[in-house]
Amino acid sequence: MSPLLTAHNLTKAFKGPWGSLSVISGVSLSLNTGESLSIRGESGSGKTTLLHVLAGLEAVDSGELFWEGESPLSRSLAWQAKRRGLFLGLVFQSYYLVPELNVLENVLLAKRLVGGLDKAAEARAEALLLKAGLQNRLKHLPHQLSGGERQRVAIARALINQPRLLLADEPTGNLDEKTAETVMELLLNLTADAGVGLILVTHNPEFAKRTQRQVVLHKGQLL
Amino acid sequence: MFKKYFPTWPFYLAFKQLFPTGRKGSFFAWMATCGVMLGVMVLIVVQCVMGGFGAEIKRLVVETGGDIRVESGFPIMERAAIQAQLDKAPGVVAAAPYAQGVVMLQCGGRPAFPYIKGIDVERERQVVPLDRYMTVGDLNDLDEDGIIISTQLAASIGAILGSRVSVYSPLMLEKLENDEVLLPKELQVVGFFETGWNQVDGKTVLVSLETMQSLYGLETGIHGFALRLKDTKKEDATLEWLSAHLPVPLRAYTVLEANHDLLFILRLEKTVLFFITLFVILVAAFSITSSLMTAVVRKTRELGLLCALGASPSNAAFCFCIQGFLIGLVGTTLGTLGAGLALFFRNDVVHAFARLTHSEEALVRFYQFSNIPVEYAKEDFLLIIILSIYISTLAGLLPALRASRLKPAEALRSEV
Repeated sequence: MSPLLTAHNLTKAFKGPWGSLSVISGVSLSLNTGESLSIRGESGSGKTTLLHVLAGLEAVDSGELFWEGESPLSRSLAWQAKRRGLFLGLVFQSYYLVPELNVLENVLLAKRLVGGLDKAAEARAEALLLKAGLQNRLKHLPHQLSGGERQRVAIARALINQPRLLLADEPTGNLDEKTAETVMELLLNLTADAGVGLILVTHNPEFAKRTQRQVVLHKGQLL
Repeated sequence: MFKKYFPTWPFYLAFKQLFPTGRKGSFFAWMATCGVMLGVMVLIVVQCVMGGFGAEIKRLVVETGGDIRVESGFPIMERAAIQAQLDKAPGVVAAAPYAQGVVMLQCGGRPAFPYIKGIDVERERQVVPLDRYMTVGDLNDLDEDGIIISTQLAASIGAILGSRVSVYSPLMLEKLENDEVLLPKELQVVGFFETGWNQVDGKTVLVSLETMQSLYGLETGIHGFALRLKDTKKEDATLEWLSAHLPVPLRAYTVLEANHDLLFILRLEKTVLFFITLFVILVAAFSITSSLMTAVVRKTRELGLLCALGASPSNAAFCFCIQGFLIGLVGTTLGTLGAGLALFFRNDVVHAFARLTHSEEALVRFYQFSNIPVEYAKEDFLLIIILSIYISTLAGLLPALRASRLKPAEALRSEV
């Protein structure tokens, strides 16, 4: 059985008038189903870029990437998008909720994008929001929520399509300590309950320790 | 199959961005919609009113001149034989002989050069509703010494009922060349008429056919026949029959053909106004483009998010095209309804305005109609509706193209 995610020797550099800036250099990693991994590193070490590369959102200069044995890099953008929507869940530091949609609509948006929105999906969204403690906020708009609540909505949205892998980019970066703890607990519990693989990018060593494996990214290289 | 290539979520998201949950719509959406609405409203009102003017003039041309004319360019001397042939022509309800030309008219020292038409009253009545046009006097009083003058002309020369007018015909000049003197004909004004068409009311007089024959020295000759048809849709068949049966050089043609230049100018005016007012929609389209372009910049990270959640960049960009389409659709619907209302109450509005500005008389004098005519042409409505929605959708294309070029990771990194 293929690992959930495999990356071989990934390299990425940003090119500009200033020359070439290497961001990721020879990164290789592998993650099995239900496994959790944290990536720590200083600001500018390439954590977010690596996450984008693993999610197929950023092209690489060289290296290989496999999602359950399939290489997204050799496929069309449309295929990547569709597969990403079903295979991956993404949580960002800045939540990225659509301001025109209410909480329930934001969660269901991820389902709409990949197709198959039905009553069961709505029930699942409501169940996820109940677990996130937002059962009374379904009709609220993002601007009516606190930062912690917004991030909990974003976690529910990332899990609505029952992905095999969840990529979280500093999900508690914008939250106070207490709220961050609540959000992190929710994230870890929900992924563990669903048997979803997790790659967590975080600055917080305490949160990193809660994942099964920890790696450090330094100047684009995994230590 | 349809969903695979045209997913429904861009429609949903576009709709939600224009009309967000819990709100009555974004300010931008309503402003852009109002722009399209006003453009469509103006276009429909202008086209319907211009169409109405054209149709009204067409109606007056046909009503005052008959459906078909039969002429030869020379006086027709075999009047009775031709009349008999025309009376049995298919689709012809009535045929009225006439002789026409230009004369000089003088009343109390005031001259005028009107168009004069000699008619057989009984037959003319069957072709032209002359009795309806009579404002003063009776058509039956038109004998060999009588003349009926259009109201505007009567006013300009100061003629009243019973006035005597002198009529000078071109025949007098011909006689002069032969050293003969022909005195002007003295006629008595027995009535006034008004058709509602300025072109006729400003410079036409009616006399009996015999008087006209005498003025022009036609003896028993006439210049032509005006025909009224039972069904104008079948005029081609009648024309064909006439061409086959009338002796050369008699020629039959429709009155609308004879007024081709006037009707062409009316159509041209309508077309030119269409293109001028179309600019209102184009301006609205530019406003849609700039607003959506701003939205693309403002929502760059949102576009990145959509890609991260499983949307392809082209589908995410498609949202903006749909927003243009939705603005066009709503604006066009509201504009069509608004135009319908404006046209329904057009006369009330114009009369209220005329009363306020004391310009009711001028309105009738210069625009010939006291009420604004309209013509609801299906093809005008269809053209305006399709064009405005098409232009609005195109307005979303440029922002969509820009959005489709965004790279997901770059969009997510955007600081906007």
